[in-house]
Formats: sequence, structure tokens, C-alpha cells
Amino acid sequence: MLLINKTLLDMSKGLRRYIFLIAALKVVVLAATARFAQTISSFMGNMFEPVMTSTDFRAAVLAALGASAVMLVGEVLVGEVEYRCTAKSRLLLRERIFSKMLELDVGNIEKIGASAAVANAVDGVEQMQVYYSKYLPGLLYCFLAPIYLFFRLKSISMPVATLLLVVSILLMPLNNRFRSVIDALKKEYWVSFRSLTAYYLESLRSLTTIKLFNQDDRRYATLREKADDFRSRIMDVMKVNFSAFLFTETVIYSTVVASAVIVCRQMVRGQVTLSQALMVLMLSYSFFSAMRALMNATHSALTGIAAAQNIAETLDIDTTRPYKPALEKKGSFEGVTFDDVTFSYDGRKDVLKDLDMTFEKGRMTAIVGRSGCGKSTVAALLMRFSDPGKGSIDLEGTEYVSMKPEELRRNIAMVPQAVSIFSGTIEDNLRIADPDASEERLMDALDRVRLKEWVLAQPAGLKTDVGDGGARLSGGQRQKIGIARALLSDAPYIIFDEATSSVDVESEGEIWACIGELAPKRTPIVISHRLSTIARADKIYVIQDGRSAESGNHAELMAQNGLYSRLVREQDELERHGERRLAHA
Amino acid sequence: MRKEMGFFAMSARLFRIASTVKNKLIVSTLASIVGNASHLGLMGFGAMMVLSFAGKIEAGTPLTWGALMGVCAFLIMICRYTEGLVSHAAAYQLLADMRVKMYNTVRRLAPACLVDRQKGDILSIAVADIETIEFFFAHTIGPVFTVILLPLITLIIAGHVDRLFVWVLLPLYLIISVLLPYLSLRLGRDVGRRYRVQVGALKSSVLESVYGVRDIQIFGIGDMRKQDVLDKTKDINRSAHLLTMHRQLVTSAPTFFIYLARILIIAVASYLALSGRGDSAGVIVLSFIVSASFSSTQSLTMVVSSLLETYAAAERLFELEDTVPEVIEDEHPIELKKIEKIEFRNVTFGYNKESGPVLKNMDLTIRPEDKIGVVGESGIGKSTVIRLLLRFWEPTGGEILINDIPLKRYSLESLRDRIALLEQDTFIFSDTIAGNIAFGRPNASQAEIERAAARAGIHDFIMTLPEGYQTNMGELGGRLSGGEKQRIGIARVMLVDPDMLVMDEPTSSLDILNEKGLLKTLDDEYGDKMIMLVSHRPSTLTGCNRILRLENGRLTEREEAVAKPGAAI
Repeated sequence: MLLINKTLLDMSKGLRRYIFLIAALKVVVLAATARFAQTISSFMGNMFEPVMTSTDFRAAVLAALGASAVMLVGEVLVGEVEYRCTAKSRLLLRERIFSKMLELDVGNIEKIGASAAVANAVDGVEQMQVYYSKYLPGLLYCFLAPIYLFFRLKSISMPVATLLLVVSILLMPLNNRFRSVIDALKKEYWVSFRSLTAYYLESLRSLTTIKLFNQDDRRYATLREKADDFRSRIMDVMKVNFSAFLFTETVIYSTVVASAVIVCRQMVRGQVTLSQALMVLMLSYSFFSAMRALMNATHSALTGIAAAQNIAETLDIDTTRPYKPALEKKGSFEGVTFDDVTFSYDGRKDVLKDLDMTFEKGRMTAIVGRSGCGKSTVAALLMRFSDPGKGSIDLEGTEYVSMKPEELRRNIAMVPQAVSIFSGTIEDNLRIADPDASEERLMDALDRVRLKEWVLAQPAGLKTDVGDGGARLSGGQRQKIGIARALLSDAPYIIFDEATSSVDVESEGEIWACIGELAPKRTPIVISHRLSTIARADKIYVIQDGRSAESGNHAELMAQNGLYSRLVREQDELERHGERRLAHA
Repeated sequence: MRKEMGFFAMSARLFRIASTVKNKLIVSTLASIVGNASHLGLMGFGAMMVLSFAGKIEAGTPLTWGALMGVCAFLIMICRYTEGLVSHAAAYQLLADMRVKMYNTVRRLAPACLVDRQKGDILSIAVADIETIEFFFAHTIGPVFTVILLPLITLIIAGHVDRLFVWVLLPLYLIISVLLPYLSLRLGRDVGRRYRVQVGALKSSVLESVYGVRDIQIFGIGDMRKQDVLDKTKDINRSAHLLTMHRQLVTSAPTFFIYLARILIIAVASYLALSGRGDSAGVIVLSFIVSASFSSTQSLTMVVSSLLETYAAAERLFELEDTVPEVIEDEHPIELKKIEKIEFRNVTFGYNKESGPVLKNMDLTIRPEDKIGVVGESGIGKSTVIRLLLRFWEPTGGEILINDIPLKRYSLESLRDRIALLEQDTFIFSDTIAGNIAFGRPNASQAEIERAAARAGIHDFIMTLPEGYQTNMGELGGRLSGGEKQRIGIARVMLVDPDMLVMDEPTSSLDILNEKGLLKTLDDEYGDKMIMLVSHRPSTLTGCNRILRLENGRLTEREEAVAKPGAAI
């Protein structure tokens, strides 16, 4: 079956010499096989002659042994080269896919789906190996082998050699008839596979929620349906696949029988000796072994190709960001400015509209507003996770678009709402901000977020394992590590996006005191709905419906008697009650 | 630790799984045997035809032998087709069953096991490992029978030609069919397992990077994460190298022995010819048959090498199936009716020995009118109290009673019906908003869903979305802010209508107006229900009539019930 596609061939760069080498080695093995067949058949033909001596016998045995040894060595070498081919392709492909994944913004990853991303980078790449190490060399060999054998056989029996060559060459396009059907089917197969995998992953990740709501039976039933759907899809592919096999085998075996008959008739006419007839019988089957091996590889290559197409889709996503290094500096304002910024996700409703803001260096700026007002979007734009649709953002007079995102992010760090903790130790998680920090510095950062004592109380200290994705840490501990990490980074600007929402109240006050002390050495930008924590900010922006509704310091805003003062009053009232209850002890 | 499962015990277990598709497996096995036997015929009759044409044998006519050759060719095709299709049908049916069974296994162990087991690892077992087991059912069982039958037929024919051939061929058959597969299983078993484990580790790492892409970008550690992926790939490559070399030896060695056998046949034939008792025609036919008899064993040896991966996969699957869950439901559980009283009596608990106990001899009694607030430092074990109450884990000491009956006597389902938990992070499913809210009660009406959403203070927000309640949330739910997610979680709990509501930091990402709204809702709608609230924010505890502080593994009461719930609002 001919499964060639441009994407896959493009991805084979750097692997091609291995592919050719494998095919060449296979031809060497084939030559040894032919030599073996010739030796054996001539021996057999001569058995009926009374002239064979023990020297003749010995010569035949040695020649056959030599041919077998060549085959053995050849096969082992094929294995080694196949391995090298797969090893290289694993590294090349994973590097490309993973690099691409890191360039994707959160919206894109959402579109692909986390499980699909993993399926691409891990299973997909593993499945593609068959294509490069078996299928492509097999395909090449499929063209070479009949030609080689033709030249081997043509002196013995031209009609048989021609018949076998013609049939071998015709088989390929005939087989292609099945391809269009399989193409359509395997897409459905892959869609079904992805749907199953995504559902599976989600079910595992949310298992706690599922159990809590007693929904695991329902989940289980849906999973059953999806698994059954996947099974019926794969069977559809198999049916066509095996029909293709049946068709090919019919042609192959008819040809083998026909060649045997033809060569026998030639033998009766005296054009061919018994030895030669036997050799034709032996080799006629070898003619097609390449084709049969290819069909076997096709079975696995099909999954590899489906995987490759998905990988190609990911690699084709446009992740280029506007980059205009030639832009001139716009003055020397010390800080970050939003100039008439409008932003929407994917052409949906505008989240931010004509927003003007300034974040002055060395001062603390806060952003408040009700949930969903666009606060976190401001943070995402400040970090340049996305680019605004209209307007510009400048860092100290330099437009964001004239820098590479990595360059910008050396200047601005962030503690996001949901901090990601990576498997490994506490130390590993801190060092991502400063790989060379001294232990003292790490402990100091932990002390500032009130996590030092807890870490010291752990038997393994800084080397405490945090579990898969930080599963062994509480929500508050995760946030504390997130904050410590940002403090350790060198970035002069630090965004705190609801950074202490899960932190215990005792630590919260102290952490905010520490954040307050960051200015004027560093520039904290704080997003919070806990208004008491931001009252001390030098400037507060109140965002409403994507616009800056009010701005000023705490006293000024209170005097305006707008949204800010209303939020503050409501919160005070609630908190006073709560505090009183706590204080009653 | 765990005892290694023997090869035979594992095979027996795999076959037990296969009993549901017995008929299909029998058909495919028969097809495999007939097909392979026909292959012997094709070669043997072919040789007979040539010899008959050449006038070297008297029996039959060339036409008869040619016709027999044709019949064999026809049988081969039909049998291969049947075998392929039927065995795959059986294998994929089993796979579907096993996948589902796998989820069953994991959910039995959840939620306790999820903290330690690497999630990507479980996924790897579920999807990829089970896939490799397909091989066992689709490509192994037929060849196992033919490997015994075909050499047997060949040996009988060899015996007819000359008994000496039997003695020469027998050791070679034993080497190829018994010794080589056995050796390859012994040598390669761990390699296959290691490969699977390494792929699982890579998956975990990639998954973590996908979810943590934001932090990766913030700190510019993309190269570091990439290096990790490449290092793990290099590990995989090392295992793959061993696997490839192993497979190559397993396939090339028998090929070599096949050729050796054919050489030996010539050698023996020469010896016989020189000693004057040669049957040349017989030798030729035998040589052709032998070459065909090995092609089946050859495929078995290939199967054996792939079997290594299958057994490695099956071993991990069985290991997971055999894990004893943290919590086992009573055999005859009683149903939890209305909750009158909850009692923690002298409860001690620790996640593992190294980190020591989290709770020590903790006592607590909760009555229906209680609205309890639990405060304490991060990581002190506040969430653990909740997890024990919902029976994610069993206490290591002491016991928990509801209505004076031990917690473990109740069915888990009724317990979770009566006590609802609002988790710290609300999981958003890739479903519509309506589906997410109605998660606990899939048959809830639209009106009920909207009412729950309104009570959780998210109805207005949902109505601003172009597709309203039918908006799809996508896999990461990344379009929602923390507060919005939490309110969906609250709506979800509201719809279930439990006796007791347990909340873990419910307001950590709500703004003050929403927080106030939530507290008011709790007061209005849950005035007559038990509430337990874990929070570090004083404002959230406003509605509570008992405040407890968790310290040194114990709860201390901060205040007796005095305040009227909701007085603040």
C-alpha cells in the first residue's frame, strides 16, 4: 500500500541516509538468499546425476553456509540501523513538537487539548517510528527487490522473470485503490481515538469530583460507549485493510502457481533444467516477500501516519508574534504604559476597550474590579502571553512588539492565580527562577513567604518531594512557593494576580507587608479583590467592563464615592464581623 | 514488596479475560492452522509438480499436483483473511472491555491513589499498554498451535523419506520453537517493562509542561523543560536499542537455523547418496516442505519478541488491578438517612510514616444546627479533616461516627449524597456550562439549573455569553476566571441539595460582592443545613456559629454557639 505524504517526507529530513542504508542492506540479504537458492537447487538437480563427488557435496554445503552467514550478519545490521533511525527521529520530532508547544499561548493549547498535546509528543512520535524505520525502507526495497530478482531469473526463464516483474510492479498501483477508503476511515478512527483519550484523561483528572457527585457510573457508561465506538472504527479500518491483503495475496499466489506451471512447460520442452525449475519455484516466492513485509509494516504504519498528520497540524499552527525590532524608542518614561489598548480573545466580545494605564517604576500599582472585569487579561498582556488587537504597550519607552517575548519576560515576572508546581523537590521548584541561587537565598525567600519553618520541619527539608504536579502541597503552600519563586527572579517588575487567595490569614498579612516593601527597589503590580491588601498602593485602577472606571490612590478613590468606595465598605463590614468572631476566643 | 507474577500465571490471567470471545478465537485459530498447513502443501505439491513434469516420480500426474497446488493457494488466502479479521474483531472487543475495566480499577482506588500515582502513568497504562495487549490476542494464539502441528507433520514426512532426517531436524525444531522463544522471553522481559515505564515518565513530564506552560513562559525555563523531555527520550532510546537488538536476534537467529536445516538436509542427502540409499525426489520435496514449515515458527518467534512488551504491559495492568484500595466499602452497607450527628472520636491520621501524623487524637461533634468554620495555617491539615469525613481515607486511629454508627458501615454513595464538598479548585469538564452545573444531577431541568446558577451568582454572567448555558467550556476551562469557576462549582453543589455542605476555601477567588452574595445564599438557602467551612479569611466565617482552630493535629473551639447565623447580613 502506498502511504506517502508530503508532511511525513518533510519530517524525514536527517533520517534519509538511514532509510537508504536499510534498503541497501536488505538488498544484500536478498542477494545472499538468491545465492543460497541457486546452490541448493543446483545441488538438488544434480542429485539425479550419478556424477556428484564428495568434493562437490562439500563445495555445495560450504557455499550455502557462506550465504547464510551473510544473511545473518546483514539482518543484524539492518536492526542496528533501524534503531539508529528511530533514535534520531524520536529526538528530532520531540524537540520540534515540544518547542512548538512552548510557543503556543494558553488559548492555543486549549484548542488542541492537553491530552492531544501529550498524544502528539509521546504516543504519536512512538507510533511514527514504524513509518521511518520499516515502511519507507520497505517501500524502497519493494522497488529494488523485483528488479534485482528479474536480472537473476531472466537468463533462466524470460517469460517467468517478466511475469513476476510485471505483477510486482502492478501490485503497487492496484493496492492504491484501497487507499482512498482507508484514508477516510483512519481519520474517523483517529477522531474517535482522540475523543476516547481526552475523555479518559479528563475522567482521571477529575476523579475526585466525579466520586463526590456519585457520577462514576455515568462516566463509566460513557467511557464504555466511547471505547466501543473506537473499536468499531478500528474494525472498519481493519476490514478494508484485510480486503487489501486478500486481494494482494490472490494475485501473489496465482502468480506463483502460474510461474511454476510455465517453468515446468519450459522444462518439458527442454529449455530449462530441473535445477533451474526448482530455483524458479524457490525464488518466485521471494519475489513477493518484500511486498508482504511491506503490507505487514503498513498495518502499523497506518497508525503512525494518522499520528503524523495530527503532529503536522500542531506544527503548522502559526505562533509567530509581531516583532518589529526597528521601532524607535518612545521617550524615557520609567515604567510600563498601556496606550489605548483594546483586546479580545479570538474575535469575541472585547475584554479590554481603549484602555490607558501606567505602571510607574518603583511604585506599587494595583488593579481592582469585580470578577470577569478583565483584570487578569491586563496581567496576561503585561506578560505578553497575548498581543493587543489595538494600541500598544511599552516598557520604559520601548514597545513590547520590538522585543522578543523572552526578552520582555526577563523584566517582568508573575505569580499567576493558579501556580503550576512541577514534579520534583521544593528546591527544584524554586530554582526555576534562579538556577544558581545559594541555599541561603532560597531559605530567605521561603522565610519571606512564611514557608521556611514548614520546610525545615520536613525530614527532607528543601529536598521534600512535592508529588505529581505538586499534589502533596496545599493550595496555600503552592501559592507561597509561587511567590517565593517570583521574589527569587531578577525581574524588576512583578505581577501578583490574586497571589494569596488560598494563603492562611496569619501568613497573608506578613506576605503583603513583604510585597509592600518591594518598592522602590522593585515594582509590584497587584491584582486583588482583597481591598485591604492594596490600600497602600501608590496608584489603584478600578476596571469595569474592560475600561478604567476610576484611578487614584486609596484616599482619592474613597473621596470619589464610586465603585471602589462601595467595594471597600462592603468588605469592611463583612470582615469586621468575621474578625470579631475570631477575636472572641 | 510485591511478588513477581509468573509467566504462566500471567498467561492464564490473560486467557481468562479472553473467555468472552472464545468462539472467535477458536475460528481464528482453526483458520491459522489450516492456512499454515496449506502453505506446506503449496511448497510440497509445487515440488511434486516440477518433479512429475520432469518425469522423476511416477505417482500422480502433473495436472493433479498442479491442481493441488492451486487448492492450497486458495486455502491460504481464505484462511489468512478469516484469521486476520476474526482475531482482530476478538482482540478489539477485548480491548474495549479492558479499557473500561481499567477505569473501573482506577476509580475503585480513587481518590486516595491519585495523590501519589503519576497521572500520566495511569493514562499510559490505560491507553498504550492495553493496546499492546491487542497483540497477544490478535497474533499469538493461532501461531502457538501451528508451531506444534507443522513441525510434527514435517517430521512425519521426513520419517517417510528417511529416518535419519528426523534426528537431524528434531533438534533444530526444538531450538527454534522452544529454546529461542524461551530465551528471548527470559532475556527481554525487563527491557520491555523499562521501555513502558520510561514512556510513562515522559508522558507525565509533557503533561505537566502543558498545564504549566504559563509558569514556564514567565520564568523562561522552556529550554530546561525541553532538556528534560530530550533526556527522557534518550532513556527511551537506550531501552529501544536493547529491544531492537533483541528482536533482531530473535528474528534473525531462526532464519539462520532454517537455512542451516536446509543445508543439513543436503548434507544428509549427500551422505545417503554416497552410501547408496538416496531417495532424491523425496529429499527435494522434503527440502521445500521444511522451508515452509519454518515460516510459521519464524512468525511465532517474532510474536514472542513482541510478547515481551505485551507481558510488560499486562504486568503493570495486573499490578494496578491488584492494588488494595485505601477505603473498602462494607459488604452490606447501610444507607445514610438524614444526618443527626457527626462525631470524630479520638481520630489520628497521617498520609505516610515519614511525614508523621497530621491529626492527633482529634475530637469533634457536629450537630444539625452547626455552621462550623475551621481555621489554621496552610498545610496544617484542614483539608484532611474534610477528606476523612468524606472517607477518602480511613483514620489510622480512632473513629468517625454519623448518627452513632461508624462511618464505614454506610454506603459511600449515600454518604456522598448527604454530604457535598465544594473543592478548592473546581474542575470544569469539557461540556456545556449547563452540563457542568448539572454534573451531579444530569437530569435536572433547565429551570433548576438556572435557579442554581442564580443562587451561586453566576446566572447573569452566563447570560452575557453568546451561547448562554450551551457555551462549551473546552478542555482546560481556561476561559473562565477563578471566581467564575468557583461559582460554577457552587451552583453544582446547590443543585445536588445535600444535608451537609462542606467547603474548602470557597471564597478564595471571589470578589467581595460575590462573597457577600454567597454568604447570603448560604444563609437563605442553607439555614437549616449543616455547614463546615475551611477558610483563612475572616469575612467568610461571618455566617458560622462555631469557629475551630486546627493546631498541632487537634481542633480547639474558639467560641460556643452564640451568634445567630447570618446576623452579619
